[in-house]
Amino acid sequence: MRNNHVFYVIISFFMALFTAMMVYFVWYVQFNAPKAINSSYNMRQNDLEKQVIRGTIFSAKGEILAEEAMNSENVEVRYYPYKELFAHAVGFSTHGKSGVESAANISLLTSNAPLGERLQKEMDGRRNYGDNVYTTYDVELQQAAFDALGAYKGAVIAMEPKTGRILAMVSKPDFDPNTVSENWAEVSADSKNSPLVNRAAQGLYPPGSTFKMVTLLEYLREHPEDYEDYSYTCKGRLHYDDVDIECYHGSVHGKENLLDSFEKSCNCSFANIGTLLKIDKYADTAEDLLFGKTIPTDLAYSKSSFVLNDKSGSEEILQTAMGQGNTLITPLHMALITSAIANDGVLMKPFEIEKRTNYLGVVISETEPQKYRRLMTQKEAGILKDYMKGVVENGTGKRLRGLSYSVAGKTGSAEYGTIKGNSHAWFTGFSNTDDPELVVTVIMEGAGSGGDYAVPVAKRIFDAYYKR
Amino acid sequence: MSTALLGLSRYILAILMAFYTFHCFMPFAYRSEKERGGFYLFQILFLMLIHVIGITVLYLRSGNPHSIYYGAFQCVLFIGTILLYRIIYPSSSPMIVNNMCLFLSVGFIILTRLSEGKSLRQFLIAAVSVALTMVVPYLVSDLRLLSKFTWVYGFAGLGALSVVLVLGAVTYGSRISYSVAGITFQPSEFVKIVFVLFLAGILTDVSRKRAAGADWFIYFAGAMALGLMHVVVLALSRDLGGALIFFVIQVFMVYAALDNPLVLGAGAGGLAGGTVLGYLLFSHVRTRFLAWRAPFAYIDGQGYQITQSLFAIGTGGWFGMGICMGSPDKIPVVEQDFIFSAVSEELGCIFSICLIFVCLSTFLLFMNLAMSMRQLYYRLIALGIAINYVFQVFLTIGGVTKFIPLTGVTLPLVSYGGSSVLATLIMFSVIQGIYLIRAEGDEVQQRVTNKKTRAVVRNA
Repeated sequence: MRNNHVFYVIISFFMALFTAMMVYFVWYVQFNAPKAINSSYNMRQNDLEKQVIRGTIFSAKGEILAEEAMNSENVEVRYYPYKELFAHAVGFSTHGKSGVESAANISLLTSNAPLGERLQKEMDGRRNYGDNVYTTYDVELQQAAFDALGAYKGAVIAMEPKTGRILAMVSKPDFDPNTVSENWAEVSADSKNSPLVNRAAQGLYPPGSTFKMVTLLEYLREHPEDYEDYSYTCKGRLHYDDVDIECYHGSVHGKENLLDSFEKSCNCSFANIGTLLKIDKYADTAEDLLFGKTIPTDLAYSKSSFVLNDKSGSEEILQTAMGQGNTLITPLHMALITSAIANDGVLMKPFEIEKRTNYLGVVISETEPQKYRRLMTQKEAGILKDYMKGVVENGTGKRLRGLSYSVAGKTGSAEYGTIKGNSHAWFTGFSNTDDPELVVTVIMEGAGSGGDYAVPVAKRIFDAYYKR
Repeated sequence: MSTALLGLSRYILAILMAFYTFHCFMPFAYRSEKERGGFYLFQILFLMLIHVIGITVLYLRSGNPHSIYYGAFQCVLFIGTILLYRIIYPSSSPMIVNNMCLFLSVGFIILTRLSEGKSLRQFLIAAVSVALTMVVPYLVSDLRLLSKFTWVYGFAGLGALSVVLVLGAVTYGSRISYSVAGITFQPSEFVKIVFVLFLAGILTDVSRKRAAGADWFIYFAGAMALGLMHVVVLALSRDLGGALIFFVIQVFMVYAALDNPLVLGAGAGGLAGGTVLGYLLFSHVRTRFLAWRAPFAYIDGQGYQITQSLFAIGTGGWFGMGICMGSPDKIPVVEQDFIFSAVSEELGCIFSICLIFVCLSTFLLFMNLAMSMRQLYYRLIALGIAINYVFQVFLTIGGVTKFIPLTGVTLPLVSYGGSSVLATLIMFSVIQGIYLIRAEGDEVQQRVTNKKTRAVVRNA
């Protein structure tokens, strides 16, 4: 009665079970954990700070954006040499964490110093040097964007459409990260200005006329062959189903085709297009462009929203088609849509962390530009690009015409609140239209028209980029 | 000197644990106990080093002098246990005693770090349990009464579980314990043992009847039904881990006795059906499932425990944060169901993977013993205890690492908990009792062969 093969079957079964579990466990610890533990819910980050000196954050060119330093009382503090300039982009680590300080927290608190040195320090009871992080941020471009925005509330994003590198990200009003912890009560209570909010990624704004890019794309999709036959006569005012639409500042654009309507940003014509669209397809297109979807970024961001559906009334449809309505978008999302258009329809994953090195500069890991997803066909992107060139050549973006570099883009003047005429100024576009190099997206709260206010800001950033 | 020890302690502990683990597997390569003896001595050395260093680091970091006293008493307990087994039961398995002490040691270190009070209670429970269970091997090997009460085990076990279902206190969403004179009992821990004895007795009878060509099926089916009722009562008490363990024990023991792969098929089918049924019937099953699928989406609610556990393991990394340098107390019920996460966080994942290997070596010893026994009854008891042990380890470690959904069971001898420690020690000592029986059998065998050789010699 000594038949042992059943026992071997049982042993094999449990060995297989445990092998699978241990492989999973090792995989988690080695590959998934570094990401998973970089969560604000992980209170253990404070434990790491007791063993490691937080690493330094650099700009793309190696300027120090954040480092550990001694203050006048010889106490170790986090020092941000550029003060307000990178308040949101680099963030702070002194009262909670934000920006790169949050996104790269675990890297900054993990030491990849040479093994011998690490052991020696641990034996001596001294802390090791955490890893350093190189960002994609360009100090000159950031400064240009910061200065150009001036005293306006708003945000600027500049990124490379072909790689996804974010070169500048400014949000105003700002704060000094060096003192944010001491002034926390005051800064966080300022609900009028909300300086802690990174408007570039978290601010939700009505897109205004920049949304005509989306409406245009949907019209192209519904009329792939005959979109050029579109014709409309603008009398400065449109009356449809008891809804009244007016062009900005009461302009009358006269007879116009699709390109004219886009270049002049004619509200009446786009409201008219709204009446022609299939709403469910329109919603699909908005979804393709990531409205209401997650965005591939490690920045803290808000989700944009597009709310039309089969039950929406005429007023909402018309308003939405020209960029008002209940649509909301973040400047980051706007920059991503623009990047996809510039990059033949393909969205590259945006990133702001270029590489991680140990404190001696040995590279630990590098971010490779990564394709996220195609948002539209190459042909659609090509047409949108041509139309956006037209905006600069003949339309609302004329201030960017005839420069040493070429620009394509779209302006927007997003009305907000109940007082007629108050509007946020938008511009989103890219330079070197044949081989797009830089996407710039600008929003200025309550400034006025996009063409008059946001376009000059964008120009100063493009100038800075090409002067470098 | 002490800063150097503190700085390097996590590496030293990981290395010592790796050495200990290595010595758990080396003896399998040698046949005679004499050759294996050296490995066991080394194990004791590593075990004591781990405990002394662990407690010293704990004292240096926490500055609490009590930890030194606790540590000293714990060392006395380990040495006493090892010596008593050597003296009283020379033919018991030294490695099982060593592993038993190692599990207790890891538990003591982490518990002393987490809560002085719980550490003290755990120590007292362990000390009393070791003393009490010291007689178990003798009872098992010498009285041989075990097999007389087979049906009593079945009904008594089911009765105890039913009482809990009706009267029991609600703990963490499952009714699995009740208190007598201030001590909380979790009867299912003890019912597991009689459940194994019940099945072993029944299946031995069944196999005897089959061999004799007698009608066995009604008897078998009735017993199986009684066995499955344990599972149902546990499921109704919302003790999912318990229900699963009982079910798996039953499936594998029946499979081993009948030697029929269909049993495994039926078991897999039953498991799948039971899981689906549980998912549909019980909201707490759905919650557990949800927290397993997308813990980070429910990080504030159902996923809180498991995400904290994953943070603990991940932040600790390969070598751990060091004793007293992490935040294992951030995990709810860390001393019981999540002790493995606390070990991983502070002692490191290399240490905790070694711990898994030590558990596996214990399982292999039990299985090895089962295979070497001649009587089916003892083969089945050893098998049942082995399955119970290894599957419980799998459920708890798989649960806290998010490999499988959480079932809320303890890591035997490492987790805090009186019932769990006592019940596990009883099972370990039943195994030791079977070692004694095997040794006696070998002796009898030895005497018979000796006589024969002498006869042959005389005839020549």
